[in-house]
Amino acid sequence: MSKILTLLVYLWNKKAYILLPTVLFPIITLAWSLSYQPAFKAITTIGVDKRLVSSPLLKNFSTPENIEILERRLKGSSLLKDTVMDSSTFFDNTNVSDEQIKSETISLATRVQIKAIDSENFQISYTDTSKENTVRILEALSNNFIDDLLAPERLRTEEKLMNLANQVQYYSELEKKHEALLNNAQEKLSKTQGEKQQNLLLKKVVKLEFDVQKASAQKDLAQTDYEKLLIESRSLITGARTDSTNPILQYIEPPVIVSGERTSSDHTYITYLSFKIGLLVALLSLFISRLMDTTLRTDKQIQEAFGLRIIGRIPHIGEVTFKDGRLIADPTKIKL
Amino acid sequence: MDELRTKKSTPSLQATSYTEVTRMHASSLASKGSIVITSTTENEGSSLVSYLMAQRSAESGSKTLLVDLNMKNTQISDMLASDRLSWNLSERPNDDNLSDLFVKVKGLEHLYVLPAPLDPVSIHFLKSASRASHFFKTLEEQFDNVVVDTSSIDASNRFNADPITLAMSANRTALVMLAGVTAKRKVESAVRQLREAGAHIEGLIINDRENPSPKEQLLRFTRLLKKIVPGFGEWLHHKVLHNEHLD
Repeated sequence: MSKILTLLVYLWNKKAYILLPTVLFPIITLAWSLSYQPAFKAITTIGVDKRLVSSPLLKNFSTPENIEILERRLKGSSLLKDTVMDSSTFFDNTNVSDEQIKSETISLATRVQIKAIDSENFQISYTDTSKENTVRILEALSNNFIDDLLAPERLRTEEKLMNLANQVQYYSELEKKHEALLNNAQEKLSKTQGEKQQNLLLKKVVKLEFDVQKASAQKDLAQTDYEKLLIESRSLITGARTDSTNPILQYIEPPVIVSGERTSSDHTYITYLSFKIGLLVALLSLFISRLMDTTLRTDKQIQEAFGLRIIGRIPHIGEVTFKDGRLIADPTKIKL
Repeated sequence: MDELRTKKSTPSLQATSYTEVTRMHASSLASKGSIVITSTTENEGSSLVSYLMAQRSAESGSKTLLVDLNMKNTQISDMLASDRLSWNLSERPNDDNLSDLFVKVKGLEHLYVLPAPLDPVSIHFLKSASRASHFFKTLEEQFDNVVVDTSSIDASNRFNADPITLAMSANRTALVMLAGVTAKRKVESAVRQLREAGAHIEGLIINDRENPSPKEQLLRFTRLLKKIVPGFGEWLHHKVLHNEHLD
């Protein structure tokens, strides 16, 4: 009991070392936690169909070098500028200066990140202090990014479509030409008398019929390929949206908020953590103060230090006044 | 510590009624002569101790002179003497007994005080060990006990009476130390200076103003507690008072 009391008295004497870290620090931490403006983070996951991809960048995007290239493209000023202008979040009116747009673009670049989850999927994240803006901006940004990535694919597809369209036209003209020749040959055949002449013309007619069918088949094939490619490339040409299918780059997970406001349990945990840290700091400071205390208190310490006898010890006698030449002490005036 | 109360209704008591003061007096002023009370640094309580010793000495019947040579803190002179005077030590003849400078303390039959001098020349005069010795001898011839209050050893005021010189000139010296506050190396330095000067160090007087024992602190707490929760406070006060392990 006496040891506990002695310990309590010691701790009371060192109350500054204990109260500041264990009481004041958690209070300040709690106040900070309550006033802290939350940052909302949204992420979206995009999958790459490597069978359809022809660009080497998208074929091996998960390597560190290529992900760095993707990040540079994601944070490219023109892409970000388009995102800033697309999302009506930033500006309430159209009268915005170039400086403002530039400033928003720079700010946007610092809040965007991309990383490869595996060899077929990558993730884009965006952080904002406004919950409403976070998903909207990430949507606009990721759509613009997909458009940007698919630009080479779009170009290639357009070239293919043009080739196929040219083929369709060519075979169509060829068919017409062969049909015209066939009609001529059939007319000649109907007017020819001699057997030998008829046989020759008949052979020619058969050949021309074959050519017409061949041209027609090739035209149909080209037409079919063209229509198929046209359907597949529709999302490439019109741009990627979360509700449309895009065979090359697809949303595995649309933009969604993953972190946001702190709940009361978060505040409690933060306060508890700061209390534990404060307690540790308190113990450490008590230990250090004990180590650095070079004063002397007990008779033994004093006698060992100086080798002098102790004449006596004067306790705290309280407030002292003079009265009739005598010192008067008031011990009740001693502070706790 | 036994507390003697003059009246039950008033908490004040005579400072010299503390047993510790009586014991200190018996230990250091048993024999006649001069004693210099000094300290390592300021605010260690040397003036309080000086007065307590002088008052106790006077109360025990010894004709006592309290000399205030603490130029950094002339509280004693200010309290007890309405006017301070110039000592003019350099102009006085060798056999002058300085009796014109003594002030009798009202209320205490055997206690006199020599207030701090107004003239810096007298301070400078006492910086010589031989002159200081003569000064003390003159006083010792007229008084049973001469208690000298000086400034701290680390005080660096050129208008101050050097406590080391005074200590080596007096019969004995007591060094006041504030326990739990004054650093060990500072006290070591003060003791070394006194020893090197040849002062006779009677011993240390420990001032526990900032070093209350756990028992004292708990007793103070129980006194406060008694005002709030009288029953529990009284019980705890009794427990603490009679606990033998808390000191």
